[in-house]
Amino acid sequence: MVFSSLIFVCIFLPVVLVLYMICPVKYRNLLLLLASLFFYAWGEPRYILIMLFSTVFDYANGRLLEYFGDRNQPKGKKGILALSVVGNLGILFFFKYSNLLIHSWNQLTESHMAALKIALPIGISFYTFQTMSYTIDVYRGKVKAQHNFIDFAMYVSMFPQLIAGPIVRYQYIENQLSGRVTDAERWVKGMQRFLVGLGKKVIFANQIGLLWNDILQGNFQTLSMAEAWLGAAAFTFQIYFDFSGYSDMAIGLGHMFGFTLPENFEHPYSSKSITEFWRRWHITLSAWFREYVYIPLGGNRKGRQRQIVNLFIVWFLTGLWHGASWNFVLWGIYFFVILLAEKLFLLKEMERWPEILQHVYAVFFITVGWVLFAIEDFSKMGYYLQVMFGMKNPVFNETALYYLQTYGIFLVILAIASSRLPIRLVYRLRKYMLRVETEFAVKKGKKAEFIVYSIYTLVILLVSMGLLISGSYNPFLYFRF
Amino acid sequence: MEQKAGMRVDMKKYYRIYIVVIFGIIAFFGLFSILLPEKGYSENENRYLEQFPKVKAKNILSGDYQERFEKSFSDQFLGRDAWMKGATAVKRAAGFQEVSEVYFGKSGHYITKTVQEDIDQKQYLRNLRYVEYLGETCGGDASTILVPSPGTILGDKIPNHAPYYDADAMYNEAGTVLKKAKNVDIRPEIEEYAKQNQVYYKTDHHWTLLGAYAAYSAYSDANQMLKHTYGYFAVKKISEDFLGTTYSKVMPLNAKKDTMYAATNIPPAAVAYDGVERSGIYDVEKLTQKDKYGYFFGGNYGEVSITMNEKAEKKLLVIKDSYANSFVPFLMESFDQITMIDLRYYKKSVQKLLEENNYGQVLVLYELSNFAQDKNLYKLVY
Repeated sequence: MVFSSLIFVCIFLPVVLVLYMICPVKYRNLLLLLASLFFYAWGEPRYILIMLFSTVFDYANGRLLEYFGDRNQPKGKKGILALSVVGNLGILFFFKYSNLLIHSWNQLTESHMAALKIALPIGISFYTFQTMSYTIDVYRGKVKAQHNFIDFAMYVSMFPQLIAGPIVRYQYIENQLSGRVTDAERWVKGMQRFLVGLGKKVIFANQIGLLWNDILQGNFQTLSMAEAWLGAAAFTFQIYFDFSGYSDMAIGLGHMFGFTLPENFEHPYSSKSITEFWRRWHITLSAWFREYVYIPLGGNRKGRQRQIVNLFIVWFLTGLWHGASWNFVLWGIYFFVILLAEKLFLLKEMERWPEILQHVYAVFFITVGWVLFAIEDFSKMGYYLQVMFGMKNPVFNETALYYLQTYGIFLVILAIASSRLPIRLVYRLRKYMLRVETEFAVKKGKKAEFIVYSIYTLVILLVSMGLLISGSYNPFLYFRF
Repeated sequence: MEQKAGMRVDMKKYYRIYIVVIFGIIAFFGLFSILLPEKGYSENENRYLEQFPKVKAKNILSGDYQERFEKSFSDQFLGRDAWMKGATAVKRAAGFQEVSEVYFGKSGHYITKTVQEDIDQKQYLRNLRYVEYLGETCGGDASTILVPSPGTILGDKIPNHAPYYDADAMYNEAGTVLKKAKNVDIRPEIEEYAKQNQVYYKTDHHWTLLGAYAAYSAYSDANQMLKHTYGYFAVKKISEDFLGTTYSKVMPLNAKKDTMYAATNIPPAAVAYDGVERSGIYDVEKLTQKDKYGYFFGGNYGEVSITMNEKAEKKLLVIKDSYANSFVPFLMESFDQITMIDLRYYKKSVQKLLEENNYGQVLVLYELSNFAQDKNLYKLVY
């Protein structure tokens, strides 16, 4: 099941909310576990077994790590850790990458090995990373092994973040597994956050996705430079509003059940460098790689050369994590090169640039990056890039004019919505209200803000429902993750 | 500031109202969309709505059950039409000039968006060759009318700069491939009529009666047949509130309804659809329904035979799509018997039909973009 579907919004969510409310506190984790299993099984009735296996496997590993730890047997602990890492990565590799390997092998050796008939289980990249964070941290002694199987299983399968993140490290959520608070305020704030996310996905991402889809499906031979840039901009907005929308929905849902999940996006397109962009984009993934790959490899503590190698490994893997296709690896290495340049000299150099230029620089490389990400076929990608940089085809054409005409206003709305302008405006207004330092004004201001925001989220709900019912374009972008 | 005593704002009441409103909306629509009796056929969308599936272990494991459940949930959603209208209004307000592959055209026209990439040129060429083969083997005079798409004739009615496929090149190709199955280019005639009158419906993908008459006029000229004036057919208004297929796709808030006409001065005829006798060529019942274009021949059937004269010396075979339904009545005066074949539904051998009958004339009539995409024309060879 996905959040941006009628069945989730109008059936699954209200049912789970009511059950959660009437459920005695001590059974709430069990309820969430069952709800999550239903949520997952709805779309992946067979592959739920893999997730259950993962859960049992790492629960057992956690207990065994504790067992060997208590008996002071570091060798046993190491063995279990190795088992857990190999097991998790093995599952991930088998389901996600074996066909890429077979395909690449066939191309290299001109052989004809048959592809395996396996589909990628949704969310596998997210939950294997989560369970690995658990066993590694138990090994490191950062967290205690979880004895309650239901609590642990609920953590792994928790439906808010199951299929598209954020990647919640066990460490982060350990204390929330027992003793969470749910009250009206959390419910309301959570629902509002969920609705904002739903709007980002259904109203913004899906509708601008139509433009990208039109251009991608069109004939590249007649593509103009203007169209190519419009397409790239469209995908740039689509992926941001889609992905950050999912994260908002996840965080909001979590909130309704008393969880505080980590933030995943912080206005990434307002960045002034690529380094900053990656601090603001898919934060929990970068954090995971830093914590479990970059730092264990030695990070920056073993000299510059080693650091560069470490960075390369991290970005190669980051790219590959996004899908079993070499264009994702290219996308990762592309960022490795830019980040390295920034680290070595560019960031210092850029300090002297005017702010607007820094911003243009960042947005330019982010947008070009998304072209590498979005077009899987290398010859098509090359052609598209050539058009973008004026090496092929005319600069402008009628169709570009039409797209500007029909999507122009919308693109401006998206640009504003992805910037920090709206939040700045809100702060400004709040400040203004607080300056009138009377009790009356503060009360009124707070109430007015709540009412305006409530109506705003209500409108989002109604428009999103309308768009979902009319069956407009509603892709799931993370089936490859 | 908020910590100061007496400054704390009690929001509980507001929270409660918010919870009731939001939860109320999602739960209400969820509950009633499932509980209310299922709707079978959607008049508006002219299709059968998905029904809630039966629970079967096999279907659940394959995910088929879930997929169909979601589809029926959306199809059966409470107030579906109103929701769709709202969504379209929002998109229009945001500057969108198309919805569901239909352009918001000028002066109330809703025009299907057909772009170059929608046309498979290879399929088009193959189809032309099938038709030419028919021309070579039918033993009579064969003609082809490829009706221009609404956007081709109403180029000034689609949004400015909006992409639309290049019909000229395709007509040129038809001219080169079609020799025996003579290509009758009706564009000049229909363009002439379009200057002053409405030749396509605003809310439907079909042509109006006048559009069909333009084709009749061009066809009669091309085959040196006696041609009657439009007035001769005693055209009568049959409906003033037609909202057709493009309307249903878009669901605009304020659509101008179309007026429909039909020829009444036509010779009496015995009519049979797929071998079943009917009272006439017009299906009055359809005028009370959504799909009013179905008035002409009651919609699409595999084989429709219209016999004006039992002797049946002058016989015409029409291979066609739904555009022909409003066009064929004009020809009834000129023939003793007309047979219409819709290849989508015709299950018998076309070549055998040609052998058994001595058709003096054969006509292939399709709307151009529909013709180019049709995958049934190979049946002409068998």
